Amino acid sequence: MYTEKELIERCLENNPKAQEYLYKHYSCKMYGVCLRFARNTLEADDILQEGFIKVFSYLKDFRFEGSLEGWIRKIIINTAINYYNSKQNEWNEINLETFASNQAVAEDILDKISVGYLLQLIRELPEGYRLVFNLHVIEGYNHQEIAKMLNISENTSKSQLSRARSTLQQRLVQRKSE
Amino acid sequence: MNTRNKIDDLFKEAMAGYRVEPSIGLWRRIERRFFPPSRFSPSGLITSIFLLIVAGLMPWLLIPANKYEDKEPNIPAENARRGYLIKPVTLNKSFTDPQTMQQTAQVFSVEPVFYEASSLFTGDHDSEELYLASAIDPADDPAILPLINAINDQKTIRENKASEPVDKYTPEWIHRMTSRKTGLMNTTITGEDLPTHRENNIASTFSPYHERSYFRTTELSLGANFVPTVVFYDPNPYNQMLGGEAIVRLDLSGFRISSGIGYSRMEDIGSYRIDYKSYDSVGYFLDVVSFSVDPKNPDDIVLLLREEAIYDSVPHFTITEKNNSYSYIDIPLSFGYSFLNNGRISLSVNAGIKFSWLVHKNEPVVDFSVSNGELIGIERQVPARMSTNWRFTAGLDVGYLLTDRWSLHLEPVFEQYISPVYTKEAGYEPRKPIVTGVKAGIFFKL
Repeated sequence: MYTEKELIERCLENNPKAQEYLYKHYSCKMYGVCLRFARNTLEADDILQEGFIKVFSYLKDFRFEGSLEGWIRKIIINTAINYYNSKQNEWNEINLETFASNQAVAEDILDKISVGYLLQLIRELPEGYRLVFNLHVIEGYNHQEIAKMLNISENTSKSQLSRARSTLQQRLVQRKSE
Repeated sequence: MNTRNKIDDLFKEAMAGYRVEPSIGLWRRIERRFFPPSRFSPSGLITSIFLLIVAGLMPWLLIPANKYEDKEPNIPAENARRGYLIKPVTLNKSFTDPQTMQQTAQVFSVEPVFYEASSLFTGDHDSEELYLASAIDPADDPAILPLINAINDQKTIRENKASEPVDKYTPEWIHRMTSRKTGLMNTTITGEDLPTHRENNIASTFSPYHERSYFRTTELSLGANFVPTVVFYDPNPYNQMLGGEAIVRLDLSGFRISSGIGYSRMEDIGSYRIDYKSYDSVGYFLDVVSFSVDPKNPDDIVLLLREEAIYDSVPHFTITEKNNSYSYIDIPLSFGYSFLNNGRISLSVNAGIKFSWLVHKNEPVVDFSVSNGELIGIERQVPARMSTNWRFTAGLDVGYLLTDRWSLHLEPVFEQYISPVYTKEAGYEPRKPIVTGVKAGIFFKL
């Protein structure tokens, strides 16, 4: 067992056990993040691999200004964003639309939905929707930050989020009718 | 709470602590890409220690041989030896069985003399001739007869069939004589005083065995090898394999054939996917515990609510790894050719096949329990191993002769599986890994 500081120091000394410990300690959580950003497990594997290589490469730059987990999470998210930027980047500038809540989701629909199904819904979202939804709803970034991270306008971020919510809402209603 | 927030909260809560174990090979992929390859390797360490021990022992092992090689061929005058000289090397008498007409005995004239080795034959002195000499009485020396026959027949005597013939007038030739008990030499007689007793304290490596080896065309050897190797399952990670083998080797005029029996043991990661359901909280609802009419405002009803968590049997999966081990009996068959042999060191190329039979496997049972849920199933991710395998083998053997009979061998080896390691399964590529490593062993000539 290491403290966070000891763990980092050992890793920087190229101690293989510490490096493996760091990976094993954080990889499950980070893989959960990767699975949300990725379309499939192969992509999630790639993102996690690249992310942890960056973690070990830049570990010497960690300033202990926040938690190590938060720092690693940020690297993983940035890696996921870069991954999709490098593959394709089609951000459709669309007008901000307000989706009325008249297509309300009944309370009971939400009652018995598994985490696995929710993850599947996220992963089936179009790429832009998925990124913005993940960043805003799950990771808590605001639209200004997301716009900067994804190099898009704030309006695009907002519209992608609205469309993501709408798509998810439709899928949930669909599930109810099934 | 509007729909937007409900959806956000639903996903946010569900994903808050979401954890999934990544695939097993991922850490190894990261290790290989990021970390230097000089990470600890048990088989590498064992091999290094073995080689260091062998290297460390070399000076001691070489002392007997160097004792002669350092001194000769320039033997100082004070080291002149007394021995027996057969002069000339001709047959005085020969006895033959009258019935079978086969030769039964030979008689040579023998003169005990002082002699010393000269480094080079100059050819200036008539007295310098090629004589047969022995450090012991030729009557007691079983090596003498073949040498006499050889010189009479003008044969070229070799250390063995694989080596180059030794020129009779070179320092190497003189060394052969003086460092052993009997041989042919270029001599200069330095005294006529005939010793009357045998001198028994002359150190020598010459032995009846060595004499025989001059004329033998085949040699049978027994040996044992320690074989640490690494198996590469490209693109998967590698495994280390440790083994040993007992070998019988037959050398035939430079060509060799060897076979035997071996044992090898390797570890392999067994990967299993475990599917299970756990009863997780996926949300909550507000349960109406009681209600009453607001006394201040009779049109309103006051509800007393209680937050109730909703649980669902959520499917999960996790990947777990087990260290499995496999033991094989190996039967190698190898053919080789010795292309360099200077007496001490030999180099040979070998190629052949190896049959492996899986005789024992240790695959620990995957033990998984869910405290608040149920196990759906355990799926093996890596197929089972084949019970038999064939491999092509090749190597470069470096031999070092310690004594007349004992030799050390070091052989870098390369092996390619001809048949797959794993049983055929849908979605899994058949693997025919390659193996690299080193054989280190010791051999004894019979």
